[in-house]
Parts: sequence; structure tokens; C-alpha cells
Amino acid sequence: MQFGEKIRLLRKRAGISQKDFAAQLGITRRALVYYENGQRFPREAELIDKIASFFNVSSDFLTDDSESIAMTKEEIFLEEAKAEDKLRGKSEAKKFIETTKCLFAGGELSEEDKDALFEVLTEIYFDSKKKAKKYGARKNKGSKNTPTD
Amino acid sequence: MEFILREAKRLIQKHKTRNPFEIADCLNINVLYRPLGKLKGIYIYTRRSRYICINNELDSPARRLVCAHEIGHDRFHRHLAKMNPQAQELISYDMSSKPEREANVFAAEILLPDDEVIKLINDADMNFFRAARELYVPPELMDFKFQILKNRGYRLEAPLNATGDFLKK
Repeated sequence: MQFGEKIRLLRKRAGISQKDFAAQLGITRRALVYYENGQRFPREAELIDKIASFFNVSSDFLTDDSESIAMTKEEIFLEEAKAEDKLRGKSEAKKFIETTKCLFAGGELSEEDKDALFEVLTEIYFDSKKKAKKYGARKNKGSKNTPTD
Repeated sequence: MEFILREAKRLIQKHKTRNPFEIADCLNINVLYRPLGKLKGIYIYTRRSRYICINNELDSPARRLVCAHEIGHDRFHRHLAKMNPQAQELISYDMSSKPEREANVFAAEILLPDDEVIKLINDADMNFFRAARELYVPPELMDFKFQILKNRGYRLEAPLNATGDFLKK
């Protein structure tokens, strides 16, 4: 796992925006975007140390590509959904996760059940998306195809 | 409860079968078998596709029952199963709740034809539980059927009162 991927994941887990995080580090947001995308790498070791201490990890862990962060099922799902639908994937997937969280709030499910259920629900999410694509959107009344006299 | 029985009758006549898997197929519901832990089955409605997911560890009679039960949800509770954060009733944990009861009545009506049940009950050496076994349903579902038959004017004695949470066991 690359340096950029790791800091993006850690940043998301911490729940801070790129803007705020960049401000904390004293760099521009643009620079942070480059780092996260893997297009650039921080020149000063100081900055890497700053990032590492911010997340309570070692700088070696961040810079060593063989070190990876285990992603949760949700994070993997979000990535997949984003890759599958560049336009809406992210927001739809977020909504979906929101819903599943509601379901699990019942508190009667064991961790294993939740895992099994999440698995099925993600499968259904992608499947229904495929089907929806195949049949196209619902025709809205008064949409483009109004008959011309 | 009348509307449930009407719908069950309509489906059976229209598709000429009491097999819930065939009915689900005719209704364009996708049926999947997946590991679900201790959940028996779920009904999901998302993006105008409907899914019944049945726990793949169940045996055939149980699968049949769960499938019929979930079709009941599809018929009467589709609006509850929408995938959005506002609708939390996608899985009702409260098995004695109204939607669950309705789905069970529906399943009983689909899986248990009147005449067969009456025939079995009138058999001298048949008791309630053996009749249920004979028809591959749990006694609780038989009890739902008994209540339906009672409403139709048959005089029957049911030994137990189904609360509707039997699918949980």
C-alpha cells in the first residue's frame, strides 16, 4: 500500500477534510491532493514525521509500501462503488451504508450475522444497479419525450 | 386479514401453482441463497428490484416456508423494505409485529390448501402435529391456517396459539 493511500485512509478514518488536514500540516490543499494521489512525495522528512505523529504511527510505516492498513468491509465497499460509478457511486454507497447501519442498530445481530448480512446487501447493491442500468430510468411524466403535435 | 387471503388466492389462480419459488419467479423477484447467520431470510427492495434472500443452511421445507413468507412481505410491505435510511423496518426484529403476522398468514394460505388440511384433520388417527408434519410445515403455521379456517366457518380446535415468532427459533 502506497504512502498516499495510507494517509488518505487514515485521514478519512479521523474524519477530517483535506482542507483542514492541510492547514494542520501547514501545506496547501493542492499539495496534499498530490500526496494522496501518489503523484508526489513530501520532500522533507519533517513533514512525513508530522503526518506520522498526527496519526500516531511511525514514519517508516507510512513510507514502507509493504506495510498496509487492513481495510474494513465498508471501506472496501466504498472503493468498489466509487470505481463502478464515478458519478454517483460515492453518495449512493454512503446512503447504502447508512441504511445498513440502521438495520444493525436493532442490536439483535451478532457480529457474524452482521458480516454475512453486509456481504449479501453489497451483492444486492451492485446487482440491482446493474439491473437498473439495463432497464433504464423510470420515465418521468412530462420529461423530454413529450409528444409534439 | 381478508385482503391477504384474496391476494394469495389471486396468485395461486393466476400462476396455477402453490409453489412459492415458482410464484416468486412469476413476480420477477430475485431469489438468492446465501449464508445469513441466524437470520432465516430477508426481503429487500432497492432500485425497483426486489430480492428474497434465503439462508442457504436451511432445509427444503424451511426454504419453502421462508420464501412464501417473504413473498408476503413483497405483496404487502414493499414500502417498508425500501433501502433508505428513513425506512428501518427492512428487517423487523419484532417477529410478533403486524407485518410479520400478515406475512405468516399469507404463507399459511399459500402453502396449505383448505381441502388437504380438512382431509388430514378428519382422519381419525391424525392429530394436529402429525398433520403439520405431513404437510412439511411447522405446527405454528398450521395454527395460522386453523385460524383462517375458523374464520371461514369451520369448527376446529387448535392446541396452540401462534404468536408469530416461530420463525425465530
